[in-house]
Amino acid sequence: MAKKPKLFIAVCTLPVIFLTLVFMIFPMFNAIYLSFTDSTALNVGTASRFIGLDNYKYMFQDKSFFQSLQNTIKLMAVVPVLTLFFSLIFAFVLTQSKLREKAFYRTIFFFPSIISLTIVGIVWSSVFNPNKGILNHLLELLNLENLQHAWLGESKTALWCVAAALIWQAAGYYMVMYIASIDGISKEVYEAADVDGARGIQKFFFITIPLLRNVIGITYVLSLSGTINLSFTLSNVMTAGGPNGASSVLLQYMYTQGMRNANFGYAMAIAMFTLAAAVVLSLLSRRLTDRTD
Amino acid sequence: MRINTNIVKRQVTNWILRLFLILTSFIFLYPFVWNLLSSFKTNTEYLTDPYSLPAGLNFENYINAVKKANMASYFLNSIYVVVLATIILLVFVVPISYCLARYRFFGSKVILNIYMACIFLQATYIMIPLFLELQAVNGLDNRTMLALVYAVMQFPFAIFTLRGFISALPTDYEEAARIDGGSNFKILLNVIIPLCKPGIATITMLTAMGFWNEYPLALVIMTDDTKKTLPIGLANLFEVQKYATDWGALFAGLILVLIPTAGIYLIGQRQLLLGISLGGLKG
Amino acid sequence: MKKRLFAAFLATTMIFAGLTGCSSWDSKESSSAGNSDAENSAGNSADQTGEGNAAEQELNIAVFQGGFGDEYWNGVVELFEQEHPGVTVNMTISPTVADIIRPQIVAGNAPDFMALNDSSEDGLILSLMKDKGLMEITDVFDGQNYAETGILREDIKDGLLESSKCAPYTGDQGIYLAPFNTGPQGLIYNKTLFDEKGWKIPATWDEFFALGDTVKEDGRALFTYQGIYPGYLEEVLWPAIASAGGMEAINAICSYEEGSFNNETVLKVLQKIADISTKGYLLKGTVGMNHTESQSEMMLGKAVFITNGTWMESEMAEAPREEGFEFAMAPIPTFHADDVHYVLDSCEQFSIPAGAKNPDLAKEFIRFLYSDESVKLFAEKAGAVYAVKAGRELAKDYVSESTYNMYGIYDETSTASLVMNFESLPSGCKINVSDEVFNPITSVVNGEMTAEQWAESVEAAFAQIRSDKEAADE
Repeated sequence: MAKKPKLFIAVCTLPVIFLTLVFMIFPMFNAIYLSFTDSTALNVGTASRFIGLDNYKYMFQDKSFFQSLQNTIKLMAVVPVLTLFFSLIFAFVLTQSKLREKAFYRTIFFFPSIISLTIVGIVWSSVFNPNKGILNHLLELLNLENLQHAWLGESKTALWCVAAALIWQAAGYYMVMYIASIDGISKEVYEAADVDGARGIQKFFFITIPLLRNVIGITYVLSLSGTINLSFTLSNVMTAGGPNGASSVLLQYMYTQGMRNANFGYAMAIAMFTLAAAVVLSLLSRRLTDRTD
Repeated sequence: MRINTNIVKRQVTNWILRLFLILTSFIFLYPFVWNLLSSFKTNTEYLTDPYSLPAGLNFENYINAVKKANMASYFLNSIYVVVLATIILLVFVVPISYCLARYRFFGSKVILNIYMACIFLQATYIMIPLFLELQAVNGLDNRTMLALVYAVMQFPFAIFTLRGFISALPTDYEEAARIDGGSNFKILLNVIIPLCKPGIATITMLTAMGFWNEYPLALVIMTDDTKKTLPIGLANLFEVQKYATDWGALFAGLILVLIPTAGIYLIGQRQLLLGISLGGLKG
Repeated sequence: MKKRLFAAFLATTMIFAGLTGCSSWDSKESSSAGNSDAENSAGNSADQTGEGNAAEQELNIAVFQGGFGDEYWNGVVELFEQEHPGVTVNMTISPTVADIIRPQIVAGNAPDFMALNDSSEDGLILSLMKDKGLMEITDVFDGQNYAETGILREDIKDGLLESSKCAPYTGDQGIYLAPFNTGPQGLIYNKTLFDEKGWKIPATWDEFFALGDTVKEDGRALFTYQGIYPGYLEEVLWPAIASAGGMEAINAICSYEEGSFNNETVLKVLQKIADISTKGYLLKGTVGMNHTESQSEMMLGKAVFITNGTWMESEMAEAPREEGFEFAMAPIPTFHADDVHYVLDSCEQFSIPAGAKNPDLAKEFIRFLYSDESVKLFAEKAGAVYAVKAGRELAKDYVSESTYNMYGIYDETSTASLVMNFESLPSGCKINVSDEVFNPITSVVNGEMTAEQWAESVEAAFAQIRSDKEAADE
């Protein structure tokens, strides 16, 4: 390799590093700093006081915070697993079947993942609308009126409506990733299985899933952090965290405290907690899936 | 005879699969179809019977969405922000990815590690400090600034992906160009960039999609109605609808946004799907 | 070679400089955005008339656009400019106006005047109050009115300026918020329907639920409310508590006193609200509806009563309705037939941020807003009444008959107006009082929470506020 072109490297890297410092690293440290102060929208900087861990202490006796933490955990327990499950099934069916219109289904299943989450939220709000929503209408057509709910207005259902929208919009995305990986599995493996008389379901469980383990691990981490981040937008648009906080999630509570109640310091404490949790969880699940290789 | 039963069997499984897929497609498409139908209804029609077919092709909702709801300006804002952010991203990211892939220099390892760690850092977490920072430099309600911040937020992902892509390229072409006396800059421009096209296309598609749909940051930074991007504009329309009782305009607005998205998707689908399977990561 | 690299470096920095350069240009433009048209045209006309002697002044106002629409504000701004040559009013009006001006206030670029309610969802006024971000405007009310016929304070409806709605700080009678409109809020019903069926307006809770059984046979629900915004039920909750426990009960709650919410009187009321749903009188699906949906359902006859204010008629002007629908308003039922029916006043507020650049002009603007022409214009364009003593009579010729009649709810025997506002929260307090009081309603209505648990959770929030207050006073 040629001598290191120092100037060239400097020109290529320094502006990027500068921008990263300005718009990522500095705000990040500022966020950490703010989380130790009593900053409000009108009292930031010199007007605010350093209060140590008070915000974090308050957080652990704040029932609204716990509620949103609980909701986030519920979503993280359910959404990634179901999303990936559906994605895998779609991917498997689409790669194994010989249907001529395969590409058509793929196009349709993927479509929700490219549209704005705001639209997803609005569209699903109308699906769950108590009087005009498709869901209640379908239940009525099936004579299942007793199953009808005011979906977004009841604490028991609101969070799961958000979960449904999350799964619906992300399933196609991971499906595409799986399709690519399954295409990467050599045909012979499946053909050998055919010779052994394996049925579709067996192939799915004994060939596809084991061979995709690593990809599933990665997508699981992606879906985990996606759930934390995307649930903010959906819950903000669909329910604004309601009813009575039943569908509030961590980042949404952070937004409420920060922008609505104007408690910048407290909001940043919540944000930093969430970020730390997301990183730890991701590293943990990555390690777990790696080990099995 | 045996072949025949096999064929029949295959036909049956095919039809079962097909039924499953069609049902699923229905779940994926129905909300949009219903939305489309509702967008042609008058308010009374929608409120009295949301399931009937619209009485006629009522384009008034669309006119309202464009005129009253500022749809056109949201649209232009979004296009401006997305295009600019993507350009900024590529201009900055391609050179550094090249350097990180090909040279070991002071701090290169640290830089790489920091960027890898930063992949986790979503704009949502730091929206308040960003808000304060931009406010301090008068950068709120500023589309150019938003584009710049968007681009920077995608640096980690883009650098990570592109560096990996370039590392996998053979160095032969560069060597040859160097022997011919090409400068580093020229090599980057004439050799690396053409070779990286698939990688660049991947990043462009994935990040542009992310920019187009970004909501949390724009929610905090873009408050002036004339500067809002589509996701915020739409959420705003959803809000305004609560006071104006204008359901039709909302649905028409959604359709207006969906049409170009769907169009670009259908055209760029191949590249996009390829990109996801190559890139594997979304910001 | 080096030269070329230098050029590349230059190119890169220039791109960057270009970005920041054009962004700062952009932001200058944006600080006046939304009003640039108005500004330009005003600038032009000023040039043409060439009035150099009248002081050129700008007034930046921010207005929440709610059920009253924007016609009144466009009109009143025009009138104000006409009567004050040289003054340009830049108005930002939007349903999400708080989100627009919040960053401006944080950036020290506050508007001069805000028409934004302290109970609005966004919480902007509340947070300004917490951090003493509003300007005291007592002097406006102690000065002359716009027509210079007397002291402005005398013109304002009794009881408002002294209430915590306008003077929110304990131990400080100073006025920080000016009352905007006034209007009764209660149970909206369809008068035609009641006349046809011969139903009587229920005075007590027993009569209320008895009517519920009657209307059930008619295939209607007794009651609905603006489901996903349970805050609308303040129109039931506070009057019912006031009727049962007197103003002392309300005042104790407003100052977050211990035991003010978890006591026999309040529990009795909470239980009635719970009963509406748990005993089957609530329109199905209510909890999932927003205000326009529930109001539409009510107007289509699916429910007999809905909580709301006088603005509903104009807000729902274009909504489909039952044949012959006529708006009318009944007060909230009481426990005993001879209890006073309190009626919650829908007073919204104006205020001037502490950081306003042109407070004198803003005060003049407030004075002008209470003038007869402004009050009449409000009645004409928004169909509603200003919080001035002469308000209802000035509005008479402009508002619809049913709206005028709704304002007549006070004429009935044994009614009293109720103005209810919580005391300002201590700085740094993380509680949102109206969330704490009203959000549990959905859980109570769904049967997931009892009235007792509701009272306990509000008490817990009050306790937190009291301890925050002590911490802030230290």
